[in-house]
Amino acid sequence: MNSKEFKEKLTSVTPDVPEHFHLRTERTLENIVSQEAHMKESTKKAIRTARRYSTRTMILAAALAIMVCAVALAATQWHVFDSLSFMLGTTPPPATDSLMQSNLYQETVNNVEITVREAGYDGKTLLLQYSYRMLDVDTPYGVTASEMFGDQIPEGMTADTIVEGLKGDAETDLEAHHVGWWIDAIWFNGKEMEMPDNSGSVVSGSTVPGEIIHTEYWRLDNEGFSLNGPIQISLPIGEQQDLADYSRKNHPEKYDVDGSLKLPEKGIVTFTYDAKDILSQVTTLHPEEEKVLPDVTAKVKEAAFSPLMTYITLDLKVNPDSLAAFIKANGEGPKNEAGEVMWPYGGMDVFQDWVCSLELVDGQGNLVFPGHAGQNGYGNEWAEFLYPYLENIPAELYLAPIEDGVADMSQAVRVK
Amino acid sequence: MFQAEARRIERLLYRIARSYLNDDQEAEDAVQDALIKAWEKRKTLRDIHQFKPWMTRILSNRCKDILRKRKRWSFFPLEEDTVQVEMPETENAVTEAMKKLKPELRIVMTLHYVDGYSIQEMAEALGIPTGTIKTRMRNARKLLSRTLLIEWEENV
Repeated sequence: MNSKEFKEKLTSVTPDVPEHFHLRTERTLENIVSQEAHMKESTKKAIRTARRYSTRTMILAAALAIMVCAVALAATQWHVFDSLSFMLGTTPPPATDSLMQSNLYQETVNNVEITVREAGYDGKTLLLQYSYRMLDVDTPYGVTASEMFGDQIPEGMTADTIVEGLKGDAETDLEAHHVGWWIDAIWFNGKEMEMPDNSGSVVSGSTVPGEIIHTEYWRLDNEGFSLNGPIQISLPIGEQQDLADYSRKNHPEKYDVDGSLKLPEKGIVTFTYDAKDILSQVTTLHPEEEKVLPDVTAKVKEAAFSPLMTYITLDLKVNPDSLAAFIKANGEGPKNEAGEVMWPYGGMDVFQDWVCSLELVDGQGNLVFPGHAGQNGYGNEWAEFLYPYLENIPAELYLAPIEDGVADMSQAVRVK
Repeated sequence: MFQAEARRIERLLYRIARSYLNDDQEAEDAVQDALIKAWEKRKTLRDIHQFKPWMTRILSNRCKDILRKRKRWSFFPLEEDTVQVEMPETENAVTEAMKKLKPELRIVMTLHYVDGYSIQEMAEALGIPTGTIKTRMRNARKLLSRTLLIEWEENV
């Protein structure tokens, strides 16, 4: 073979830019600009467009969650609150039936039975579970614990336990039916919301032939949004539509004046969920008591105790002298191969060890959830902690750094 | 300005992400993440003429992050969800040989032979000295020659 032949062969086997890649890039570019234009306030959140996760990403997330938490899942049927296992590494509290509503929608499209199986909301997080069942597929897509772990089956599972992930060509099969999530948005009462920070989804098969089950958790509170009473929820999980028909540039009529996408007429599944008066069951505290440490000043901005989970948000302010000393010792920021600073160091680089060592303790420094890591993300000015449901909230609560299993209360931030 | 510059290099971004990740969906995710990060950091870009290398570096770093995570969890038997396409033997051999190259080498070979980038253009696009590009091309050719018995007709 000579160079010319190699060039021809390589060109013939190298894919051109796929249309879907182009459309998604376009939408990302449109969104990051328009979103900022409509975001007047400066928030802790980065600009994010909603995204779907690849099978690989979800499988990796599952592997991570399972390896770290060794969570046992329901043997034959997942329920929507089982996704708490992946957020928190715990099983849901026992009394959640009142929060969950089942069998919310069913329709058959292109020989695929689409079912919204369950939905639940705790005043902060909306959890949804829906499934696709391809009626002309006769093999199940569920992955069993023995298939995933071989003979190293984690405690609490049996060889037949269905775990996260999909077998075979599940997603390709679904695409061949022209059904499935086709645009990155959902709608509440017809108004678009993009996937908020700290949201996610997990996917699994089951023992039912042709069935794919999606469980999603949406942190509505991160968009400052809460549900009260009955609300219409619309998901883009019906017949796939051409994304080119929803280009902001070519079809501005499909967008509201605030830049949000109007509810499409096709490819949408709409159902009603009744959030009832769930907000009245959430206890919210704003202690705002500052803890001044050498490198950082911290206070709990909000602690919320829902019937499902415990959410704690910290406000953080780095000591400018500490940051200056850090930069003096480490440079302005991480550098690329050419020696250029890619982004400047900030507060999180200074205090991340401290933030990552924090856990929830009572007034005596006892861990409230031993063995449970509550850290759920942090930035230069904030950190979030998630814990399981607290039935009896202790009189005093703190986030304290833990070293060798012992809480250092001198550096603790008061939660309650 | 940001949007226009990003659109101009869409193909390049795809090539880089695809070369690193060898998976269309992950390439899409990586490019989306990189564009968002670049948008957030755009004020650190002082010269718009440097947009291309600046952006490709952000994307390369994102791809490396993804690869690192893959490696970390490589004990898990992943099932590739790519569709196997029947290809003539030579094409298949080229594909397989390219797959065996490191991403950095794959990128320069693809940009040069498929998209017609010169050494200088690759250096500018990737923000890498021309000497490094040449070395990568030489290494890639050497490795490809072993499996494909290619006689390169031009010097790098």
